[in-house]
Amino acid sequence: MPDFSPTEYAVPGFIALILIEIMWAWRKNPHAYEARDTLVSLSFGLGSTVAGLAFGGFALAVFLKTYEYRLFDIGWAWWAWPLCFVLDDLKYYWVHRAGHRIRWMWAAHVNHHSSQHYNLSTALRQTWTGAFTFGLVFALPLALLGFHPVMLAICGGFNLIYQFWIHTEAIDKMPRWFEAVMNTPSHHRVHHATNPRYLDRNYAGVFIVWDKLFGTFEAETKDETIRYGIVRQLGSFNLLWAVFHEWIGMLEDIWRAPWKHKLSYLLREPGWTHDNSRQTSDMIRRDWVERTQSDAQSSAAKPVARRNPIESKGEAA
Amino acid sequence: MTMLRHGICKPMEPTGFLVQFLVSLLAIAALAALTYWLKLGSAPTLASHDDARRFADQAVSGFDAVDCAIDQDGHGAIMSDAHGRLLVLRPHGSRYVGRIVEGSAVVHADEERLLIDLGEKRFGPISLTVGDPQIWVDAHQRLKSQNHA
Repeated sequence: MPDFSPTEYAVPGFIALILIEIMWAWRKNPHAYEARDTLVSLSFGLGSTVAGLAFGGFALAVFLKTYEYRLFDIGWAWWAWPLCFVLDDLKYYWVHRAGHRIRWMWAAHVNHHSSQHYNLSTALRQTWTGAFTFGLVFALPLALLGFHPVMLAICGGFNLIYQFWIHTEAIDKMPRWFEAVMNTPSHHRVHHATNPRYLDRNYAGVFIVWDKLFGTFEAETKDETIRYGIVRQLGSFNLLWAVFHEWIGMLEDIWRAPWKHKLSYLLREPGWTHDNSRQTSDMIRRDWVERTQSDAQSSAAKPVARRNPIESKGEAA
Repeated sequence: MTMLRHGICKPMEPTGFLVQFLVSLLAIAALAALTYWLKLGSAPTLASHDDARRFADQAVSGFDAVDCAIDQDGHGAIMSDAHGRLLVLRPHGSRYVGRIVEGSAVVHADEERLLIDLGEKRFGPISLTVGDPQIWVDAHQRLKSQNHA
């Protein structure tokens, strides 16, 4: 049985690449980094390793127990590795999708999205509270199928390492064949965007084909500047607030909600409320589509000078 | 990126982990200090009403500002839309954050300064130097009246 943790070996590489990207930002894009944001992102990364150490034992025990009831003895055959990697990435797609569509899961995953910057340090904004969700359940079928938990951990580690380099604005597009199959900086910028057209899109880890297959793919367009972060930006560099704000918000909502709606605040999508006082990403996108279509229709119908109702002072809307 | 990645790897020796933790902490401090030293991500300033409106729409999708006052140093703005809603923008690092000013917020004028407390502890109070802050205090009063009506 291999005894190897790829992410441990990758850490010096992560730091070196961040250093290179900081130099790129200094020369080409000074707003790509911000000192306090970088500090929070990297602290998230460090804290997540402590959380992994503190709570990982439980996950290990569950995986090993599940493996005892495996359907097949896959073992350590060479062909099992690529198969495990692909199936683990498929699992990642679904756990990640759940991370955006179920508020309980989002409470842990929001950490990764709460930066208004998109750089390699953002990649290290890893959750501290994943152990308090049910994300583990998505991986259990693989152990039940017969993939050893260590093989799953190693494949997961390489998946994580792959995803590091795609958190950058320094790379525009990869070759066309690569963009078609693999997750890339361009595809993942879309995932981190809060523009209505991009909300809840591109959940892929390594292979973008899952999004194309399951109808969640959106290509990056040059027509619209991407803004990063979350729908309601944090507005704070307080690390502990960044870690726990969604958990606190969710628990407050559950506490205040009428009994029949309490569970919905846990299991429905972020932004859902029983009184429609907030918006989900689907609502935001629907309203944006309606506004865009309405603007297009009125532009076609009205003379040029009257196309913009708030342009009376000579300013664009 | 995902959760549960670290949990099922081999446990590390406590001393080894402590050394790695301290080295990582030093690396983090060094990288953050470098970004600060290189003056990356300086605070933004709002240059025009167009900018303010664009950032408002980004902060609250569909917020279509019809009136706008920018802080005299460009450190934020307050806007209203056709429905009488108010939105305040302030810098956050090198970006902007915006919030709808609810009726429950405390808004008052102090000479040329407009002071807004959204009641959101982590967001903090906002102070904008605008031409006539009383206009916005009145707009907020109207908003409160609408909410009570």
